[in-house]
Amino acid sequence: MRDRYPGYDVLDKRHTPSWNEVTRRVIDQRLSISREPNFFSEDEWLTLNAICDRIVPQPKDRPPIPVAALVDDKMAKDRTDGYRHYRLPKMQDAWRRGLSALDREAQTRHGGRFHTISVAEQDTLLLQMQKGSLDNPAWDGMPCTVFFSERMAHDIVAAYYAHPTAWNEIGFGGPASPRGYVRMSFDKRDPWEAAEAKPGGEDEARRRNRDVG
Amino acid sequence: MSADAAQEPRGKNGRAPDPLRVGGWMPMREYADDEHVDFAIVGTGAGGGTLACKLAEYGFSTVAFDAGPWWRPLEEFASDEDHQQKLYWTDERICDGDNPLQLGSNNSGKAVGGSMVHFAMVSLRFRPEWFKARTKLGYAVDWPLDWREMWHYYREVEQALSISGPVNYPWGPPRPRYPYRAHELNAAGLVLARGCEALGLKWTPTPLATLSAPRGIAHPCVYRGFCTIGCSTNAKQSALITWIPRAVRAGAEVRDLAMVGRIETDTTRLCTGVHYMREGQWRFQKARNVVVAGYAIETPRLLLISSNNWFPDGLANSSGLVGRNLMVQTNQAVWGKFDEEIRWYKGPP
Repeated sequence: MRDRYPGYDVLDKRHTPSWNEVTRRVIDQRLSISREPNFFSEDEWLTLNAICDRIVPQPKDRPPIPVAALVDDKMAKDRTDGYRHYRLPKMQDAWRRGLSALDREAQTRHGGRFHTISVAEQDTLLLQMQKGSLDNPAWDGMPCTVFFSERMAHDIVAAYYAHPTAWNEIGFGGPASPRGYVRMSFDKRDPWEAAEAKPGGEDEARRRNRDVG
Repeated sequence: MSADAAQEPRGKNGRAPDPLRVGGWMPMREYADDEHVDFAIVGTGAGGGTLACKLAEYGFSTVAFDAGPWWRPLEEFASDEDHQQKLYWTDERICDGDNPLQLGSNNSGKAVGGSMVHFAMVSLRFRPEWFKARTKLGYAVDWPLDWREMWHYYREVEQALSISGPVNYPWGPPRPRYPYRAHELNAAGLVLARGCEALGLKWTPTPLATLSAPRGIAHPCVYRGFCTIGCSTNAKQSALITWIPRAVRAGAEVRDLAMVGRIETDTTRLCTGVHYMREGQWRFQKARNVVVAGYAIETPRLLLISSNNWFPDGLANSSGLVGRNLMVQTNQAVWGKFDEEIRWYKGPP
């Protein structure tokens, strides 16, 4: 994957006026999150990690964002959203049931647990889940398509983009208090923002991105 | 940092947090539970917070309750969407029915200052014809009040919150100058302005409740763009930093981490006070009047669960319409790609 913001690291701004003390604490905590599950069982953990690898596949040339661990943290703390579709059970129960149902589907349709089948088979199952065509009794009345969009993809994508590495990838400015920004207009980059590399301009962008901190 | 605002109430022992100062406090008058106060107000947001201030300034004894904590933004608000979910009402609510509401976590707030702590600061006036929607536009119903009356209050609020707005507003009757100048548009706003001009439409910067110049010890907006997860610099003129401190100075008591669970009525069918949970105990505040200002969801919920022998269908529900046809915050957004860099995350909306 082409690096659109070469050399940009939002963490370089950690000690600048773009980060206040409470933000430093919050992000430090996120970066130091345990890679072992506190909520999910060993079996669920394997399945969850395999799903995350398909929903938000990650490049091999950088440390991965611990997506499954961030989802696990949300479950362990039972940090609910404030709303729940009536066809879904409570957040934690929905995840447990969804993971186990997906494993059953993998077993019956492809002869192995979800994390053991091929990537193509995994994608087929996830697509079927999204379209609502999975019907193993293990779903127990929970529509797989609602689980996919309102619970599974929702939590996984939110976890991914809550991580500074994802902000680097999309050139997001990240924390911005108390300094904020000055230049509001078109094509106006503040010196502490990511520079996007135009084709052929990678070195120039890299040089600018070195100075965001 | 002082003790966790989400665990320990701060508005007690004769003092309240001063949200404009790091670690700051201000004195607060307190009322006993068995003292018949003039008003018990449930909710401290745009409705309840404003009302608590006005009633206290008129000399009424007033106690306002909020289920959420009393934050000091300067030291407790992070630039982080996930962390700032602490501002939202995230207790579980089930969306059911033929046409279930599509909620977001940020539909309502659970904090002193209510949803205003995370609102997008858009401060428009309802137009005159909308007050006569049925007569003039052929839909909905006419409002029971004249637009001029409401416009009088808009002016008061715009002054009180130092709203930043354009010198000339291009639609409707003339309006007084906004107290603070309009903010510079960000690139996303400029895209819309360019589109309007191409179509021959008038446009104007949106009047916003965030400072475009200093006010007291609060700085102007720094355009950090995290407005809807709470303003960490106090430029946003939310109830938390405007109406609430004013209410406390005028003698109102505000109780944080105090969730009202039931409104009591007596044999004369008038309310007598509210039951509320604070520090692990159910308590009862006596009051002559109870105001319920807790958002489109919690307000009807409280009225309905306060049903009793005299009001089997809940309070204020002779029409049977409490909690029906309810409407929450609507939202609209358009996304597009442009040749120029937009950097949408900068600046107020």
